[in-house]
Amino acid sequence: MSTIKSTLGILCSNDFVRSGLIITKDGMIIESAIENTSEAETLGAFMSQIVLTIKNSLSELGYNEFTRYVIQSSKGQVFLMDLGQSVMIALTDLDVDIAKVNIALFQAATEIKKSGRLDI
Amino acid sequence: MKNNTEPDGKSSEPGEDYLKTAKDLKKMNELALAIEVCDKGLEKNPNDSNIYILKSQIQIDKFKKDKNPDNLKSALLNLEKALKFNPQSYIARILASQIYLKGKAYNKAKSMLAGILKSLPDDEKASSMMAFIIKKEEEKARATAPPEPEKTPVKAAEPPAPSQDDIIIKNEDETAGENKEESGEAMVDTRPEENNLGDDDKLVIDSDSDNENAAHLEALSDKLTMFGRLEGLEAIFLVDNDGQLFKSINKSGLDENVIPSLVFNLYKASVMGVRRVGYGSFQRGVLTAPIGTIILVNVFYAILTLVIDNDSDLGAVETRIQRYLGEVMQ
Repeated sequence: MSTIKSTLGILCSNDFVRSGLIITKDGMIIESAIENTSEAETLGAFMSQIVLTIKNSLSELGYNEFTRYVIQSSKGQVFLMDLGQSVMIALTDLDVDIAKVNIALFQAATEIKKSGRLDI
Repeated sequence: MKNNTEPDGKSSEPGEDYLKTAKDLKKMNELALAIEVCDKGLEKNPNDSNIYILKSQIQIDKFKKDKNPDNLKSALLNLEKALKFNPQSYIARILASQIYLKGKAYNKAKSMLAGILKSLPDDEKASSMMAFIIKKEEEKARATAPPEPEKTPVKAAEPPAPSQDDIIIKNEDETAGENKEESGEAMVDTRPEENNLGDDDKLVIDSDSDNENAAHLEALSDKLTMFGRLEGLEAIFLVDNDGQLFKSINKSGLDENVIPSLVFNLYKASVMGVRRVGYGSFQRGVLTAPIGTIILVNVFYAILTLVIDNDSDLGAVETRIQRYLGEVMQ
């Protein structure tokens, strides 16, 4: 679990990423960089709902995975990266360099996938 | 012979069986039967606000199907009854607001929405409808601002100091001649016994014209071809707020059932998600999936969805989308 924790730590040390967490498909938190636990759980629950919506619809089209989903809201952006059995979530401010966030996210996702710890 | 719309009555809640049966019938599009079940439920449970709400929803469905404004008028009456028994019912208030909005009874809609926003200040639907009304009022104020004293003989049908909430049904013939006097038969008092809605407002349901949202959707759909110039565009779907596909330009033959359903569900989940985690209101979603990059844009009265090839230069595409959106939203 230390790989995941350190990878998430590196991701969140990026200037553009406010916080992040990794959840299972059903919303259980695997690792979180959000201090407030209940806040992290709420975020995990609602984001897992989004992930389920995407996965259910894609499965109807014959696909199992998505690459990423980015929500732009009035207060910031939420990035969801599909890691197979789990999902990485990153919260950023509104005005961020998307390219740099993407690079940081893909690096983190690759590290986590490489660790193989999440393929249960 | 026993009526086949009679539910089995095993449930603990008084009107629950009727509700379940009516909902099932509604799903099967057996609207007349569903209303019949609601009526039976109301005979036995005359104070059940949920049955009134369901009945109104079925009547709204009927209106969408046959465009008979009487259904909408009845739906409103049922919603008013529901609100009498359950004044805080969110769904009843939202549906009633939508009907008022459709009938251009802006003051009543505003009053109803203000009530919702008082208890749910972040409610997306109520906020957007309220914003729409304010915009309409501003337009109206601008239009009426310059005084034109010499213009126009007096309009015949202005009611003297209206003290009732009226629904005026215009049929195709009537709407053709705007000066036709409003007959007493066409005006139906829908005043609820116990609500405090504005008194200076008429509800005009026009049977041959679409509501404001539909008009906006039409206007937007006319401009969709503009997006056809986008590099790598595979499809455009314009999905209305009920999840129905309004218009599509489907170059790649994508599934027109699954994609709009994905878009609608994803939009709903995203709106709810960002709001609940304190991230404000949803503006845009970009899903990168094997079928392409799906861009969802909230255009207030609909969800504009663009499916772009994954190999396209997304940065450039997004910039152009932004520009086109600026043009179509004017």
